[in-house]
Amino acid sequence: MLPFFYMGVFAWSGTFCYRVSLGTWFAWVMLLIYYVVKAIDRVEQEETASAQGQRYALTSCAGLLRNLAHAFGWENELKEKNVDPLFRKSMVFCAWSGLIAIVLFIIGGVILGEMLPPLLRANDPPEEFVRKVNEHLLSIRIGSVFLMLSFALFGPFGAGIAALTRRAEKSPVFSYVQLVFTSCGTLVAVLVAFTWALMAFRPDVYHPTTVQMFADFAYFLAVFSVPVFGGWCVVIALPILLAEEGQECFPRWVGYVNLWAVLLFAPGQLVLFFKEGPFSWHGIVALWIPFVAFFLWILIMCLSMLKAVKADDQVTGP
Amino acid sequence: MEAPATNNQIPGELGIWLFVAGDLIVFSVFFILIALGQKENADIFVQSRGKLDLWVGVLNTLLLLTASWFVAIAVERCRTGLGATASRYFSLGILCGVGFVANKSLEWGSKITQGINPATNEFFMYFFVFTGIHLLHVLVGIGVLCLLRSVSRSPGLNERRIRTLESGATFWHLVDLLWVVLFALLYLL
Repeated sequence: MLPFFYMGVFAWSGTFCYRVSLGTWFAWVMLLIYYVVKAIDRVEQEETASAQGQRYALTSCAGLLRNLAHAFGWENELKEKNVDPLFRKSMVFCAWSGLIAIVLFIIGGVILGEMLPPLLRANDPPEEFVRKVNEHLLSIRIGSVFLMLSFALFGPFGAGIAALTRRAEKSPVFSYVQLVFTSCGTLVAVLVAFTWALMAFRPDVYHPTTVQMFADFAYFLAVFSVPVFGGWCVVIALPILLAEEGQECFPRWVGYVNLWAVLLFAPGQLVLFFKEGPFSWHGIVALWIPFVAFFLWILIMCLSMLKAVKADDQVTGP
Repeated sequence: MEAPATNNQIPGELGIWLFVAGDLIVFSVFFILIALGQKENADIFVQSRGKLDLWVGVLNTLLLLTASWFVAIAVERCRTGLGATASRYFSLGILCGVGFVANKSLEWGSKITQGINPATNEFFMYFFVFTGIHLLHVLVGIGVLCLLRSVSRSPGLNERRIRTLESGATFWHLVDLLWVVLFALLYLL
């Protein structure tokens, strides 16, 4: 409960500055999700434990054998062969890359870069774009540097998920497809930071419509790219949901969370058709929902990665 | 032998309920947007609503409710070991779903030939986008039902397959529920 208290105090003090307050609320929601994920995990564990208990203890002969193996400690021996301390450390690195990407986005995109509570509006005239960008020139520039750092970290984040998927596959297919989507997604995301930086490079020299186009381009790269990020989520969900029971690389609910994420990204494609209202690139359905969902998705995947290698740790332990 | 008691378990998997809750949150945002629009431009909303064919909406609602009924019967049959007859009910459910899609496209087609499109006004923007997103759900749902149909035909219906059937059916019921609320907000209010 203590973290909630701190976050509350911070959020309150942040009301003096709109952007800091928003960033803090963003972090607050992330913390809340962290607790929800932990709670879901506990329910799932209890459920599988009771189901396994029934299956092994009452019905199946194989379960009896397995229990015997467990009693003699053979099972641990079997698993110990697969243990790889470097894998665990690498996975912790990948998971933390994702977590740091979220923090850097909050600094670069929400507080400094003014991307998420959108500073610009799709229906503003070009001169208004130039005026607003000039007004916040330095903070957008510094924010772009943070954005670049944040988006570049998607690479290790995605590679970590692919490595975990690869471990559960006999012949790698989905892990390869994931790597393709990871590189493609990282490229698209990094281009968002490029265009956002270029917009603030020399707004007085560029023709106002060029500044407007850079802003359009940044948001189009971020939210119109549904098949890239949605496809990534689908190829993470499929190997989890298609796996044989007990062979999943992540808990099954993580698969469903990925499918849900696709659904939340999807309205991003509406930005092409509207310049005002909730479906334009400054609106709630096409901008806020996909953006918030995307970073929640990164958070949930990072926590699941940490959880997955923590389970490894327990197997190796005494 | 008695079938294992499943009373203390949720139907389907935990994950699908997470998905349902998530989808409901997103659609709640859509519903709030419609309500806000209604408050701001009450005249346009009332006027535009008059241009919708109520009976097309009623027919679609009936189609989806019937489909849900068939799917519920099919799952119940699979649970009680009558899986052989279940696939027929899934087929009927799929048929209702296809009927919904056909009816929807006819409705959209007639609106567009009348010169009404998402750019007409705020009401029709919400109408086309939200029913469009829902239509996407129906199409995914029809795919899920086809999958369930083939699962129900497989010889050994073990506990895991039953769970898959329940999860898929839960998604279809969600599609139905979302339409009922959309129907009320867009056609009836």
